[in-house]
Amino acid sequence: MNRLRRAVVPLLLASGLAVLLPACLSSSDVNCSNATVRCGDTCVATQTDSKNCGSCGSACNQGNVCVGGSCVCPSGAVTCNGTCTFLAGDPNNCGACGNVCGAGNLCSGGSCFNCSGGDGGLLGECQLSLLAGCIATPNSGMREVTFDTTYTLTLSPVEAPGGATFPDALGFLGANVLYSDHDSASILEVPLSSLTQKSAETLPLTNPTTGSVAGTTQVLTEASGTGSRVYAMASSINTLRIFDSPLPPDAGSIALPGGGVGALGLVSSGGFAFDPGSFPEPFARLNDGTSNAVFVPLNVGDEVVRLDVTHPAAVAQVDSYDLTAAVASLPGGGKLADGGMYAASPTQAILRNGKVYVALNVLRYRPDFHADYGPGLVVVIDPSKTGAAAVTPLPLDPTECQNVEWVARVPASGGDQMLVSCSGARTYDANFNITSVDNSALVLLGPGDQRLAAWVPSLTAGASPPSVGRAIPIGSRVYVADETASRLYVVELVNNAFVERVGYLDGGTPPQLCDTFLIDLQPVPLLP
Amino acid sequence: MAWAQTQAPVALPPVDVPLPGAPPPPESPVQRDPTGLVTVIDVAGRSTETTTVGALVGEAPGITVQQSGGLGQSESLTLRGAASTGVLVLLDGIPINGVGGIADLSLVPLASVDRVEVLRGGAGARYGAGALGGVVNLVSRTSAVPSVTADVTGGSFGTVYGSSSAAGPALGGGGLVEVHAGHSDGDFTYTYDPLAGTPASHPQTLTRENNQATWAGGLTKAAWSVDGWQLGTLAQVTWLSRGLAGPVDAPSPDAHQDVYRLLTGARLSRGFASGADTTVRLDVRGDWSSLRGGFFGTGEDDRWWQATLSWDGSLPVGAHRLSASASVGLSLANAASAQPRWAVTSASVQDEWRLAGGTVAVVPSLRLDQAGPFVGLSPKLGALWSLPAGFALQANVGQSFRIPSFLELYIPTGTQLANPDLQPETATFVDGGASVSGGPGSLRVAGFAAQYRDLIVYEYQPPLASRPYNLGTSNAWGMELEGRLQPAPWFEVGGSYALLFTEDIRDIPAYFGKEVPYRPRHRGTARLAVGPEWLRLHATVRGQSSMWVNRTNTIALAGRVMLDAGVDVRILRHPSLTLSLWGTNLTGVEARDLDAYPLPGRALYATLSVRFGEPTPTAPPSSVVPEAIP
Repeated sequence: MNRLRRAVVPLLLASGLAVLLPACLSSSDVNCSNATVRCGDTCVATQTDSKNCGSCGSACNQGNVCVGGSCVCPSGAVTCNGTCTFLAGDPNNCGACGNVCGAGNLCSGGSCFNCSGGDGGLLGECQLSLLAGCIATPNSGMREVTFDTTYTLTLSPVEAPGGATFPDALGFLGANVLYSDHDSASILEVPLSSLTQKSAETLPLTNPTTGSVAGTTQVLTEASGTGSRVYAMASSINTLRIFDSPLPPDAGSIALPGGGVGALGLVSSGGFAFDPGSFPEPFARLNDGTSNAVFVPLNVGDEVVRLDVTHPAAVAQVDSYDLTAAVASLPGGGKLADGGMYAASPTQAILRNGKVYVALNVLRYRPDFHADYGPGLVVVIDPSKTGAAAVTPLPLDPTECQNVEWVARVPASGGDQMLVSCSGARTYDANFNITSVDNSALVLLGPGDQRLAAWVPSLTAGASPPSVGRAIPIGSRVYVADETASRLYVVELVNNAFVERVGYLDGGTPPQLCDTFLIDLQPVPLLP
Repeated sequence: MAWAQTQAPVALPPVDVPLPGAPPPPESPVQRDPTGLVTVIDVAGRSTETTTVGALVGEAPGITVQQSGGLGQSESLTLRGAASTGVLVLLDGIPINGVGGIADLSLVPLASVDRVEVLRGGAGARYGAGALGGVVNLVSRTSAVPSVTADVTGGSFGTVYGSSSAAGPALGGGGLVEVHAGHSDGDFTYTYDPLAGTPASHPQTLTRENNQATWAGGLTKAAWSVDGWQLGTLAQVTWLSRGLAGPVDAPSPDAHQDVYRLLTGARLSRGFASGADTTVRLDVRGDWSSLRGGFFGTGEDDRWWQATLSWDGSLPVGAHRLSASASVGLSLANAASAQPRWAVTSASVQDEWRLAGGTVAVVPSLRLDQAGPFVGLSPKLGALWSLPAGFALQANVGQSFRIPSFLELYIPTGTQLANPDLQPETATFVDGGASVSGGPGSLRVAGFAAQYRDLIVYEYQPPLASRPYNLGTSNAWGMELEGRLQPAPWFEVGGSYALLFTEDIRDIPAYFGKEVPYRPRHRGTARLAVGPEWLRLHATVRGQSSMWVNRTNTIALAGRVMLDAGVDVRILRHPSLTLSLWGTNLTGVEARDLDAYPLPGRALYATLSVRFGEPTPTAPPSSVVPEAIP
């Protein structure tokens, strides 16, 4: 049982009993287990509770945590001037006590980076902002999330270009956002410097023979010769669209409409149509000189297909990888108690160390659109092999991880490490609001895909249960989106362990990025 | 046998005239709304020209038919820009809009319908809540003379259907029994190319799957005349079982729906020497819908019952004809998630005031409707000026409202949630028309304007659901033209055209000022029928312009023009045996409707019809302009 549940369960039980048996028990009748003592009307684990460490009311401060009933610095931290400090990321004690990086500089990995001077950092640590895509009525659009070296987050207002509805997905081409607009099923070109403007050029993604909207789930830009190539996964109409631009991926902002048309010069160069109803998801890209391919998970099809994208006008499927055997390899043969089978339901693929890693929901939908969830599962596809022989299941601890939605390589580790977002087994109310989440965590895997650590988002009384969503690692930090309430947590990787920096711990509150729903979260590119 | 009244047989003159001596029943818009703009379309005489009632209803100006594609698949109507929930559809005066507020015309068999009457414009004052854009009254089959008929049709896409009827004296009165059944595989082909317009375009020809439908049903009517009272009964049963193929981008191989419907009614009416009349009727309706497979999993079952006891009466008083009505009823539904129960009542008054020697009629009316917790008033003022030489001017202004349906309020369906806080939609309208009729034909031109407010729209509620809210507001205005010419019995030409402008005035910048989706700017039909009774050729051209499919007006479906044509050959006279060869969409136009639903291409059919009994009196011609009430 994970740490959060150890802390939460006694509180839940206590509050539940208080609700159910108000007439039967009074505070004088509270009996606490051997591991806890009574503080007021609650049972507290004084061995680990930072607010009641060793005894009721003894709070740990100055960054200390409660271990064995004593306040100590967390693992990996040292004491500088009586305060617990992580030398890897403290700009006032960077790498050593008293080593100050200076105003506007970032400390990462124990080194100072002059971000204001254009220093990108060793591993992109100076990337200081994210772009969130929000669905709300009103207030659909984008907002920039900027963070300083002390983990202080600043949210810009939600903005969108005139005439835009909510975004399905966000991408970038240089200093310009590629805003996949839902209602018009087209990509709008929006300068980062002015999120309320757009160029006159729009890229239609719709199925022109049916008029269906695209439901885009991914917009990916890469260098192509001297220009750029943009891939847009229009999942609802089962197509991958490919566009080419003469501008390089680090192009500056397009001119605003007032000063000229401004456009990225994107033209359609081809794509691929998947089988109707297969619902392709965000793909992994492999272009290593030998293969020029994308690996696309098909959510309703339980397979991954490999496409050769060398010629956009003639994209061809060259292989497919059935995922049902991976599900069948799970305990119980991938079956539920009633004999029904879980579906693999792949949701995303990434490339890491030459292999393709695919996130799988592993679930069975019920008639009421709720679901039964199986154990957490990732599959590894070896591109050097074909078909079933290429697929290796990578099961995760089901008591810690269910419903894998995202995977992300950790650049700061050179790709040796990978993050797995386990969104957890969810229950919904009649209005499809999440009411409970079990076994949701962010899991860190090492070079051999071994589990190194897991983090469960902190929670406070009255807050909705978090569901770990997309995780964006930047330097040693990881920005984690919560799928229940569009909150943003920040954790730091320290010595292969997670340390929560922004959350509910110590009386904090993770910021809510969107009024209703966070549809996408992307790091803003760092440009020269 | 007429539904409402018996009538003495009338020797018809050789020229084609409307059925004489048979005033329309009280629920007919011709009778109930004397100043309203009404179009009447013959169905019984054109059953070998199309496969669906909706195609014929769509010939009335202002109507747009929304189709899922294929015989037995859903067909709904919009009218003057009002959504399908705002068009009240009646069968012999019994509302047939479903539990979600939409009338599915695929549940109305062609074999059971005699004609269609379309009243355009808000009709709440005369028909109650739900008629924002207008009313469509389907008049069931009748037979003025004893007869036995049978017909069978076979054709494209595995289609076969047939019907049989018998009419004549029964139980001291007159009766009609009609039964029908049919099946269509619906497996037409269509082009699928989601990358059309790109260098990777690769059109594929696919076959529509899980698009089959099977149906059966029957109609029985009876009428008696006792001591001056006319008693009539009606019972109709319908069963439809169909696959739900879904949109082509996300087809469903196993979604399925079964629908059962029962309509029954009894009417007691009488006319008095004073010119007064009174009618009491009891209508009961039951709907069962069962959804399985696809998104519906193990199933969703809905049951819905409505029962209404109503009274209509009118009384001439000098230059006035006063009309009143009242009704009381129950509406109840049974679904897994909710079982709403409503009492439903209404009361209305109308004064038809004749002026200027009876050439001018000023008709104010007012109706109060109550359904569950909702109460609303629908006022209307109409005027009719009958001019010499068959000319007439009509004008109307009024307000209507629509009460949210059980589905919208209480019963979630799949990921479409319900919202018990919904309020009624409202409409304010004005229209006017000029017409000329008589002799060989008729012609009418009309203009209208309407504003629809508090429209219920489903808003995306991420990540899975959508939820209805009263957020829509729109304007609609335009022009309607219809005419018919029959200079000789063997030559008939007619048609209609509607010009429709819509404007979304909802306060969201992305939508404000844009056109309302699925409302084509231009829509029209033209029909030609030539030949003697024993060899009749007919052709109908139906067209509509392109239309936006999204609220930002950036995605459009192409316009389309389709040709239906055929020939009816009478092989024998006694009994009457006719062979019809006909087809729809003969030029094979590929078209789409709604959200990625392809429509069938070219279809060919053959029908063999036999009739035993006296010759049928000539049916009223289509698109007739109602004569001014004397």
